[in-house]
Formats: sequence, C-alpha cells, structure tokens
Amino acid sequence: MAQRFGGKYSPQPMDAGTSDSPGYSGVAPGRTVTAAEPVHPLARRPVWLIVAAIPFLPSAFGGGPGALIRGLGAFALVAGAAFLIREGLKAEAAWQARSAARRPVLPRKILGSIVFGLGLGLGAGQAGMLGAIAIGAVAAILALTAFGPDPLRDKGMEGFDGIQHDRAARAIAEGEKRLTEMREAIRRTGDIALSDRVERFARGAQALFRAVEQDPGDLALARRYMGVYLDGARDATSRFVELWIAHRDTAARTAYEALLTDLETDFASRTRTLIEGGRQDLTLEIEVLRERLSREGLRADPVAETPPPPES
Amino acid sequence: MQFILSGNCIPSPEAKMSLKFVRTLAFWLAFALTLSVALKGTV
Repeated sequence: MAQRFGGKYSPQPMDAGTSDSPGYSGVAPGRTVTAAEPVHPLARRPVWLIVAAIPFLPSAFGGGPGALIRGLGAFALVAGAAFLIREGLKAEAAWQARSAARRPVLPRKILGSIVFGLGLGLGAGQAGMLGAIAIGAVAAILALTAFGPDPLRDKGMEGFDGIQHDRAARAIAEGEKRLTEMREAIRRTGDIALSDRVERFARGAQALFRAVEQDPGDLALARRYMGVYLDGARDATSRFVELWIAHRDTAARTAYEALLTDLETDFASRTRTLIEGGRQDLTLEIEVLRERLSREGLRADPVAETPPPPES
Repeated sequence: MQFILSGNCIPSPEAKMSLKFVRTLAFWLAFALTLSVALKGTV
C-alpha cells in the first residue's frame, strides 16, 4: 500500500488525534523519529572492504582450479569478515547505548579482523608463503586498528544479581519485540500521524525499559506493564488496523488513540515511580552511611564546621 | 592503548581527534591493501 512521504522535517497534520483534521498546515510540530536501534558511526565502512575485494572474482576464472579456489575463497573470507565486523559494530553500539550491559559473547570485530587477514593471505598467491603470511598479519592489524576491539568487559553490572539482570534483559527484549510488532502493524495503515502516535507511545514504553534496565530489581513492579499491557496494546493495534483498512472507522480510531494515551500516561507514571524508588534507595543508603560515620567519629559535627563570623 | 582504542574512557577532544584520524588512516590502508592484493595477487 502506498504511504505518504514523511521524514524528520516533513509537515505533519496539525491534530494527529483525528482524521477530520484538515490536511497539513506546513508546520512540523511532531517529528516522526523512527526508532531506535543505535547505529555505530563506522557501521558503513565494512562494505567498502567488500567493494575493494571485488577484483578477486574475475581473477578467479581462467587460471585453473588453484586460482579459482584462491579467488573465490579470498573474496568469501573478506566478505565474511566485513559481515562479522559490521555485526560487531552493531553490538558495540548497543553496548555503548545502555547504562548496564554484558560484553558481547562473541568478539566479532576481533574475529572479523582475523578472518580478514586470512582472506588477504589466501588471496596473495603471487607473494609466496612468507609474503602471504606477512600480508595477512598486516591486514589483520590494520582491520583491528580501523574498527577497534570489541567491548571486553561488562558495564554497570556491579552489585547486580546476574539472574535478575538476565530476567530483566529477557523481559525488555520481549517488550521491544511487541513494540516492533505494533510499529509494523500500524505501518500497514499508511498513515503517518498514526505511525507517529505509536512511535510516541513506544518511546514512553522504552523509558520504562531503561528504568528497569538500570535497576533490574524493579522488574517485579513493571512486569505487568511490559507483558500484559503491551500484549493488549499490540492486539488492539492489529484489530484497529484491520478495521481501519476495511472501513476507515473514525470511532475506532478515536478509541484506539484514547487507549494509547491512557497507556502512555500509565507507563509514564510507573516510570516516575521506579525512578522515585531508586532515589529513595539512594537517600536511605546515604543516611545509613552518614549515621555510621558519625557513630565512628569520622564525620565532624556540621555546626562545628561552619566558620566563625568575621570580627568587626 | 587498548583502553583508549576500546572507547571505554572519556578522552579529551584532542585524543578523540587523534583516535579518529588513526582509525580512518588504518581503514583506508586496509582498503588499499585489499584492492592491491585483489588486483595483483600481491602488494
């Protein structure tokens, strides 16, 4: 189905809430920002390595089986290395975007650099055995320097229960999946205002995800929101989309948008509660520590610390 | 060095620029090396 063109700076309907709003005002109040996967600044570079390796392909033919294996093998290894490095860059961007994250299980960028070295070593048939090894080693070092090593440590996991953190990560992944399904469903309507509305709702839900991510202990308080409510929102979205495509049912649209608004409010309020809870925990910890310090005589009395008034 | 390369620290703007330069240089060298090996079978 055709979809109205729209981007970050495209004009949006004045009132995204109803379909009765008379067209576009020329003002861009709400911006449709498509979500949300963090992108590494170097993510496009690995493709250029594949481009540079294209000449391996014509040279593979016409020189006998050895040349064929060398040419195709070298190209396949370089392309595989570029793919691995790209996946590694994606994983690194996701790792950097989160305040608490485990290191990637497979160090893809390091592995990709090694495979890249193997590819160029295999392709360097004219350089002799030692030359090929040298070229492969230099290529691996250059790739590792160009893209950097993978994150090799966990981040922000100090004092976290590993099982609890995994449980929270699983719940967040499920929640993100439901949001993606909602986005895909609403896109079928071809209506940018609706897509934008769902995107705003998704951002609210993701704020709750981030709060849970920072303190996985809060999962119990947010589980209903990340499971039952998001399930309901997804199901409501797909039903609404069917109705909208079939009948352009304005009443259904109003009800659906009201549901999204209610859910958005609930999600925001729950996120605030979680953040407040975290602040209370911090205050409590500070008070306990202060009390302990003063009991052990390490903390001076605040009254004694105030400087005497200047003599006139 | 690995600490800096991994981007896990908060480097100064100058250090960031140097790192970016080194990475860009290494990338284009890798590109040129790949092209050369793919075209000639050696460097």
